[in-house]
Amino acid sequence: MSAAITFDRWAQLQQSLRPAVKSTVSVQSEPIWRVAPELARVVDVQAAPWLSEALADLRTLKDAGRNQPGFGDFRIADETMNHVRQLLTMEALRQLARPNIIRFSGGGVSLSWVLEGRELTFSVYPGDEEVTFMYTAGLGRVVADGVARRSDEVTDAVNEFLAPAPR
Amino acid sequence: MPLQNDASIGDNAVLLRVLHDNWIYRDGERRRPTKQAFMDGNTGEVSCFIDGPGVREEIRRMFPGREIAAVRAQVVRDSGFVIERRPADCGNFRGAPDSHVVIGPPVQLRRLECERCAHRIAVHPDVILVARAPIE
Repeated sequence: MSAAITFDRWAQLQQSLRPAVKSTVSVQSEPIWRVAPELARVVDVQAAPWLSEALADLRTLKDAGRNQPGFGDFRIADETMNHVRQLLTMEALRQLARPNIIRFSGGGVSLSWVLEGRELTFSVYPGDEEVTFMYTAGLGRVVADGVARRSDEVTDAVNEFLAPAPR
Repeated sequence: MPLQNDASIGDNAVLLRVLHDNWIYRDGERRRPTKQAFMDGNTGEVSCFIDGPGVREEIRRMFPGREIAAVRAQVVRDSGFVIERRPADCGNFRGAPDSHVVIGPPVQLRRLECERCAHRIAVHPDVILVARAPIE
C-alpha cells in the first residue's frame, strides 16, 4: 500500500484543521500569543471594520522604521509585528473603535483608544510574551494597569475600560 | 547596564525630547507628550538633549518639523528615572556632545514599572511642548 496520502484523506484532514467560521470556542485559557500566528483564526472583518486600515497603518510604521540617533530606534521586528497583528485581531478589541497605533523607541508598538477623556493603551515590546496595559482617566490618572499574559486578561482590561466611567 | 545618575546635571536643567506627531495627547485644554515619548522597548534608555544656547536650533535642524517636549530634570528624577550623559550617541548633533543624555531606570525594572515612570513624566504639569518651528 502506498504511503502517499489520498485526496479524500487530505481533504478530510484540511477540514478537521480548518477553524469554524464565527467559532464560539472559548478563548479564556489561551496564551496571549499563539505559537503559529499563520494558523490564527480567520477574523470576521465585519465585526471590526477598521481592521484592514489598522493593519495598513502598522505596515506603514514598519516600513518607515529606522534608527535615528538622538531620537530613537524605530525599527520594528517581524516578531513584534506578528504580536501586534494578533492583538489587533483579538475578539475583545472588536468592541472598540479603530486604535491609534503608536510606535516607541526600541521597536515597541502601542495601541491606544481615547473615549470621553479616558485612555486605554496596550503596549507590545520586542521579545516579550506579554503585553502591558494602562487605563487612565482625566489628567492621566491611572485607573488600572498591569500585564496581560493571556487573552482573557486583555478582555478584562477592555471590559473595565468600557464600563461606566469611574467617579 | 544600569544608568548612572549624573549629579552634574542640576534639577532645574531642562531636557528636550523630540516627538513624533502622534506622541502628543490633548488632555482638556492642555497638549502634552504621551508616555511613549519616554519609553524604549529595548534598552529602556531614551535620548534627550540638555537645553542651552543653540541646542533647540540644532535639534530642529536634525529633526525638521518635529515638536519638542521640555522637561525639567527634577521631573525625570522624581518619576524614578535617572539621567546619564551619552556624548557618543548623539548622531550628527553639531552642538556640545555633552548636551546629549539618556534617561531611564537606574536598575533593571519590569516593563510596566518603566512605563509607569514614563507616564509620570508625560502627565506632569510642568512638562510643556516647545513651539514647532516652521519648515522652510
